Amino acid sequence: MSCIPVTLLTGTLGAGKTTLLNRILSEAHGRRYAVIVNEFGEIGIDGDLVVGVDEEVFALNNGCLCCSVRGDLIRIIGGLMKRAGSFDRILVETTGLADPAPVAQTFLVDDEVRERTALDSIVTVVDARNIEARLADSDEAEEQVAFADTILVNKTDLADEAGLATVEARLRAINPVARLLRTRRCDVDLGMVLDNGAFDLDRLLELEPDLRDGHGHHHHEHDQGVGSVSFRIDRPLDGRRFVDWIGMLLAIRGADILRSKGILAFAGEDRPFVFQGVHMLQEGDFAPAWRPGQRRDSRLVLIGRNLDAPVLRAGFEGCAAA
Amino acid sequence: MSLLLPPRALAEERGTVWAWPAPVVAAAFDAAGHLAFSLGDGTVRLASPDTSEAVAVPAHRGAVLALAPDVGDGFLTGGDDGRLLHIGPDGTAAEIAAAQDRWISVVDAAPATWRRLAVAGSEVLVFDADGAPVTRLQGAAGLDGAAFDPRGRRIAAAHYCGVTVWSPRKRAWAAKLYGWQGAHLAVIWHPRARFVVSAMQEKALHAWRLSDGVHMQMPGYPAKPRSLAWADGGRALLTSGSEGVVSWRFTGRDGPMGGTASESGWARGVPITRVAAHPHLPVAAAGAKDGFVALMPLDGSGYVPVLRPNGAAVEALAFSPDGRWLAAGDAGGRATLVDLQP
Repeated sequence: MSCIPVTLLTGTLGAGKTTLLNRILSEAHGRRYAVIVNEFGEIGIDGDLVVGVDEEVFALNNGCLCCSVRGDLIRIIGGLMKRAGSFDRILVETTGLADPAPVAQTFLVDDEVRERTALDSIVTVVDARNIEARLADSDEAEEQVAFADTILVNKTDLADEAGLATVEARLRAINPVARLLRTRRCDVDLGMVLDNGAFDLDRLLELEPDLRDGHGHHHHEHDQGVGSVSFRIDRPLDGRRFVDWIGMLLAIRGADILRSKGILAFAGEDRPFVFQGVHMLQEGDFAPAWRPGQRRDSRLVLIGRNLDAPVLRAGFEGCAAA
Repeated sequence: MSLLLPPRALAEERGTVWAWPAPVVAAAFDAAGHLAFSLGDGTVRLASPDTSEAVAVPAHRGAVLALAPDVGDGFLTGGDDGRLLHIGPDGTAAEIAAAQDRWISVVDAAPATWRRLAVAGSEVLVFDADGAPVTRLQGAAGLDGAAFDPRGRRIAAAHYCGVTVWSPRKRAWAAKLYGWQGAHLAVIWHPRARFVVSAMQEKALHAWRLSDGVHMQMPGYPAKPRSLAWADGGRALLTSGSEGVVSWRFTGRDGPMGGTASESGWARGVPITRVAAHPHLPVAAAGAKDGFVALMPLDGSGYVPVLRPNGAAVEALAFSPDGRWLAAGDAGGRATLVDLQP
């Protein structure tokens, strides 16, 4: 059974999520969507399967304190899979106030959901005019930016160039891996938003961590704010050591580390190991092959709060093969 | 046991096989022995060993999410179109209720009191034999399973953080919470109503003794145990969720408390997805994730293949009330009815 790709739409209230959703549905070009929304009524596209949910978040009783998942999504995806063949993609829209972590964790932690679906990408829509204010007053807005694979900086027609540059620098400081796209009314090439692959390999390969001081991109006016650190190592890693280290790191610091991503060269392996994590949950596997001419090094990005770059860097470098 | 294995799977010798274009979601026999399969395309297929034709009843728009034998004869179904239907053995479909914008995800009927229930969102809707509403019970968040007690009076419902048991009183229904942290997905009553057992998201069962609320964890599953069946006159609870059939002993006052589960001796390296217990012989049926179905003695010592693996998970498994027939259905749309009479 092939996996149904899932796109998660997040964004602060009024940023333009529903506009984007309507565009995706009205320009479906033969794709059949199952859409999971919070509230009925806002969208009404005939022929699409629209399901309302209650955003039921619950803590898993598995000893992992930050591990909460969305029970409604597990149920609904189980139900949708009974009508296998009647749709080929799932869109999940969250409320502007939603923390994306439980949604992303649902796709990592539930075996049956994992078998049948694959989180293709997290798309976050922000309003260029007020995202800085939202980031200052809401943890959820920061987390939506931190989790994004793609960020639509929307309503750019209502902002000036200097303001946009400031916004983009701020978003980049939180999430250096996401693709930033400027839009007016979510007028984006939908191919840039859909079909990205849960783990956007190309984005990560393009990422050029600042290697000289291996430092983090913290926004210094907000010490408790979300920032990121990224590292690159040229020497091959000892796979066992890396898996042990990242597992231990996320187990201990997973409450602070919102998102982790890596593409890694293990000694004695011809294929890159691709890794991603959401808080304490993680998944990793070998990709089919390195691209021709691709530099075979190891890159790791951690997005979160209170990240101590020198300590994390030392830990990562300690995974190098002897 | 292995020396006695027939050369071919049982269904090839004495079975009827149907191939349908949508996943089989459930199978049920009513009290009179009529058989229904429910499918992901919204149809209910009424099947009979007398003919290789099955009657397709276009019941729901979307998928049939729930199927149970109704009181009297025929079946209750719930769908993601929000409708609760009675399907007669002649193929007539009658709407009992329609829930706006909600799925009917669980249904149950109580032959003892002729009542029916349906789960819609976080509510349990209760109806009488004529389909008239009796009450609506507001459940906790994450309500996902509900069942009548064996006498058809009380209702247990599984939800986040435990199981609620409602008992009808003169003026209203009294609710009692049996709590345990985590997400409880399904609930089953002990045949003599001494225990309720829930199946959890956390790959475990949880059981409560109703007389005093003493409860026990039943963990250790590699996968969610979604299918539960009482065997051996209520002395054993069989479950899916592992590579063998898991059996918990419910003997004595304490049930499985302090004990451990046993697992059938054979394991093929493929998880069991459905179990069913023969109504009066010490025999169970098990269906696996790869489509394999087998009969096994309750001591778990061996097995008789019924269906060969075809790669599609077994989603439906039921014995007829007289024990002569075994029905099975899988996610690939294959349905089978096997005659077990010697």
